[in-house]
Amino acid sequence: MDASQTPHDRTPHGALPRHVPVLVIGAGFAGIGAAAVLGRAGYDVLVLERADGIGGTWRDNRYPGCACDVPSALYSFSFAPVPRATTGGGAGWSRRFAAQPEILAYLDDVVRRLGLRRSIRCGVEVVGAAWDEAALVWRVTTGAGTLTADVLISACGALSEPAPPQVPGLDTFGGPVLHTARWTPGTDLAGLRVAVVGTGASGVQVVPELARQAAELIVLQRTPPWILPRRDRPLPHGLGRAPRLARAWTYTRQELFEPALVHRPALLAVAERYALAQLRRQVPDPGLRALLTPGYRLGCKRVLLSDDYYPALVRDTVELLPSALARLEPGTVVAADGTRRAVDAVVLATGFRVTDPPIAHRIRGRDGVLLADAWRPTGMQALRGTTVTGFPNLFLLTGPNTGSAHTSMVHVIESQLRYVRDALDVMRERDAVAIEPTPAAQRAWTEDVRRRMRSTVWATGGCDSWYADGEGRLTALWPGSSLRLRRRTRRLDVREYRAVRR
Amino acid sequence: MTALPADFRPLTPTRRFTVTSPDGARIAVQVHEPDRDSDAPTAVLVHGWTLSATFWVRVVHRIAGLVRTVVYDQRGHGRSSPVPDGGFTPAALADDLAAVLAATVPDGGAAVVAGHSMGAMAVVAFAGRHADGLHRQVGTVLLASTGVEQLLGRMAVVPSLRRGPAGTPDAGTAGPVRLAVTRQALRDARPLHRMPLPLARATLVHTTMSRTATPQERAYAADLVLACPPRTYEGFARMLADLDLAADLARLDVPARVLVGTADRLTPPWHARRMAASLPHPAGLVQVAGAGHLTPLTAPDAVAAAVLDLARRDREARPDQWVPRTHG
Repeated sequence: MDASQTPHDRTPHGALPRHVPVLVIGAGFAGIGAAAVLGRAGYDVLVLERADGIGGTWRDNRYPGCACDVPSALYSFSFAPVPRATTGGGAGWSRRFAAQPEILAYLDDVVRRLGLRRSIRCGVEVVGAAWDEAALVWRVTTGAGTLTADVLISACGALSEPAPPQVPGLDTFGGPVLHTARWTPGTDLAGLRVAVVGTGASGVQVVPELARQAAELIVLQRTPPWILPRRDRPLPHGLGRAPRLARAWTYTRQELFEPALVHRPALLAVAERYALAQLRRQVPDPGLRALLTPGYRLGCKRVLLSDDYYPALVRDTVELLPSALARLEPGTVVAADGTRRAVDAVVLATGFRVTDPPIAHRIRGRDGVLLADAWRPTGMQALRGTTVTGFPNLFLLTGPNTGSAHTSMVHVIESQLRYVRDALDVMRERDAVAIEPTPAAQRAWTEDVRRRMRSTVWATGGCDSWYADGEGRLTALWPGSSLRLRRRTRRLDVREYRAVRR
Repeated sequence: MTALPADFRPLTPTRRFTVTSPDGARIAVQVHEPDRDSDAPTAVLVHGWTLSATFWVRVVHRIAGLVRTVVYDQRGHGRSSPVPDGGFTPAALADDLAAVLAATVPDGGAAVVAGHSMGAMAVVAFAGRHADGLHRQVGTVLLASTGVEQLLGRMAVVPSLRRGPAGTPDAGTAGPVRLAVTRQALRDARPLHRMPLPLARATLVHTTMSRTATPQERAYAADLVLACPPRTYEGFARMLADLDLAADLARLDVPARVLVGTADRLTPPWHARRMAASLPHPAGLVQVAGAGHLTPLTAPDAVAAAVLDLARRDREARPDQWVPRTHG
């Protein structure tokens, strides 16, 4: 390899190969994991990334305060549990909950360590992929030309496409309007009057940072989130020496939440008391506290972890408006209850398009059917969260009903990658050129998922959340333990598939 | 946690801003504009010791759609700045009110100014110190659950062997022992904060409320008091111990109504009767049966009705309905 080559270039001239056995879309945790796991299993993998660097959601989300809500001990690949020693310190994560720069550096390090650079091409966006039934390949159109692939893996992630609020005036506000996932590095909001729209995971992280800088901060809250103490703290160097122990311990602790979330939401009242005790401690004013007290079961919407969000709201310069955003007017935010506040900048912490992923509008299966259209009548569904009838040789990482509310998505991704690797192995052993799930298998799987979803707090907790799609179908989360998902995706069951042999 | 009734939920003000008092204290002001009537009269609500603008929430719910409603955090309370050294005085509270009125009430605006407890004392001190502001900006006044003299001596917080008239906490003037115990109890905020929460709540309920208070009212009031910084608590406690605004009361020469709960232990009805008798322009004495000291919280209907009545009367006032104001 030429030494002058930039890390992510596959070939010196930047031309794409005409054919690859395995094509992966997206170089976040899932795409990098796919390159690592499938590459090690002997498959020739090419990862296409539309951005000019790797990292996915951890590259996009650069807003101040961005960090992971899953303990770092668990939020990493099992085959590379800790970052290597950096800047003179020992190996291991610096904090209990790593911040975005450390996670991005970790992913960079994994790519370098495992020699995945030559498998990843950045700056190439997949604009369309169509299954060619005659040639039995995926025909993929990119911003840098076309290519074909035997197997297509979507690793686009659930939290990748920002969902700005559908309100008038975003273009005519006259000042910066930033989505947290499209933060312009170097944005300085110090001394300005700033409005933050949204109090989900991003909002709760960005508010304490902006409260320190902004002259005035207006926080628009549609529904108050449940917030548990985060208890973030630096980790001593050397703890990284027992990463597997730390990982097992953290995994077990996180997994303890699952029975309550999925089977017995009433048990979550214990966690609610814990959350309310922190609210009482940090917000002495009973009026503000009333606005911050959720009216639904903890867990129904994503549970947030923070030690500094409530204290930020108590500051003299911060005002909580308990209302949705109605519109922006030049220099002014207007809330749905009619309240107006003059501000200089608007931060949209409004989350992502989760249940209608944009990639589904770019993939066409047999007979030219668009994945989004195939899903429209039923909501997103995929056999074992991974494969879809009518879309041969397509694998969806972090697919329908694989999301985790209580533990690490990296664990889920690794479960799915074992399944994909087993699928590729089975295809090779049996000389199958193409496989796709039978409609009956996909239907049975989806029915089982939806049946088990009924007892969950997401279905019964009395809230609207991004876990549900426009029709109220809970197509994002896995209704069970991460161990159960891992068992259910351990092996490809050939009875669930139809194969085309050579 | 017991869910709070809807009228405890804060209303978002139309505007929020800060005014600066002559000694540098910054006062956080909230203005609620009524939806329609841009010509609506203005009501300014002034809260008492250890509370905050939040305290008025139930009254604001009842009047904000009808009159322009101004609430603010007294110095050292809520989101206003801490009290500067030497700033624990009725004169400073009066100056704060003057600054708020200057920012919210146009000349000739004839606002209703309603003070509760130490807030009413601020109104009385304002009358003594800012006669011009009183006549330019204030139309009528409501003095709720307050007194202007002998505060410690008349308090019925520490149980007494003497009994006053049946059903009221009026027990005459305290003897030296009760006076000393009361003074000591007010001087130090630390015991309250060190008590277990249920005991602190019980203490505050005994002091500030009557048996008729609902659990939500009790919890809300106790939380407000416990949110008050100890320095503010103690600084104003010292001021209240030796307060005498009788001379200022004589200068409050706009129509003024007095309101009191008959079970008020902190400022028993004795004060209300005495003030009503010595006001230059008394405009009624309202006694709320069975209510304790925190009338805007536990008797919001009576307080809101009084504010709206004063606003309406002032607006429709014909010269013969009120004794003409003396100017200068």
